[in-house]
Amino acid sequence: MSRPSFRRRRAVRSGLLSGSLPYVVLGAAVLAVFLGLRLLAPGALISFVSPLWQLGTAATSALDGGSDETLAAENAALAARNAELAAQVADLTNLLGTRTEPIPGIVASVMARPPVAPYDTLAIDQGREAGISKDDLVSGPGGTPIGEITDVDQYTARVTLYSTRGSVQSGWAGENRVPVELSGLGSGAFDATAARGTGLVAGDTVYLVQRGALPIGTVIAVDEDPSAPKATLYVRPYVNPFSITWVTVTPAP
Amino acid sequence: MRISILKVALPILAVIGVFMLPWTVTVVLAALSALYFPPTALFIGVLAEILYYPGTGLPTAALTGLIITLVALGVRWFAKNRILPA
Repeated sequence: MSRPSFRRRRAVRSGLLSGSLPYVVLGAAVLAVFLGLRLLAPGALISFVSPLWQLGTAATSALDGGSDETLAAENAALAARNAELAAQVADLTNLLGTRTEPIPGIVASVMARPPVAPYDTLAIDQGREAGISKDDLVSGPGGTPIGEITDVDQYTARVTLYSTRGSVQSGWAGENRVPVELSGLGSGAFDATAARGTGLVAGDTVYLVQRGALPIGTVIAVDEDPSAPKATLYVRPYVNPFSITWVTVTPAP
Repeated sequence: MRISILKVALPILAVIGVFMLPWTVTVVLAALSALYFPPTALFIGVLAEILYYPGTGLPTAALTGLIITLVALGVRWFAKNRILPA
């Protein structure tokens, strides 16, 4: 009969990642390739992964597509609205003439957007070939400015939105164009700081200083702390980056 | 058998999630796959940084991946030494 042993057993028979070294090395190699592409040829990386993004966009569209009846009703409503807007344009053209030069722009489809991207960045399907270059301005539907081109490749580009956390832009708010400092909060949202007692109220329009004053959203709340020299404005943007499907890129001034 | 399938399927889904799914879903998938293989979460976080990092601010995706990896390593260490010490 053997005597019982009270010696402490070896706590760990092997390392927590024993036998996994090949997988760790493989993962590190994959990351090194992606990191190298990002640093040396950022656009090439976007080209490399764009099929996956496009697949995701197509799958999302298919899931959110709705029924044929809904689409037909939506189509009819949009056609009616289109006719109404065309009539308005005709009226304004008669009134003002056709002297206004259209701003040249490149329309691009959005391949990746929040919330797939954890930051406020977009990947678009037009690049250097279409005339896009770094620092070009990007606007959403209605010409609302939303960001700038930060990486560009031959056929694709990456847009960093003004609402990216940490981004600070100059702007104006209200009818009196009170200067404000717009700070990105992520997910398309902004807040802004302005001097106290400027009379800004909820509902005022917020403008970005860019080729004049371009509206980007409305003030939804004003937080005025009596002990603070500045007021904080909370801004609801006109463009929702979560559902944006196309953008217009215009050359930087 | 099911666990083996999960071991393979979860990391693959997490990698696909970086490209196609909302980032919150990807975090959950990365956390689940990290329970089987902890470095997966760090891999997913760094991959998200490489794809989407805007150039300024904290690299939150990679940091989140690192934290999940460390927590998963801790859970595995605890399970091996205190719960299943055979």
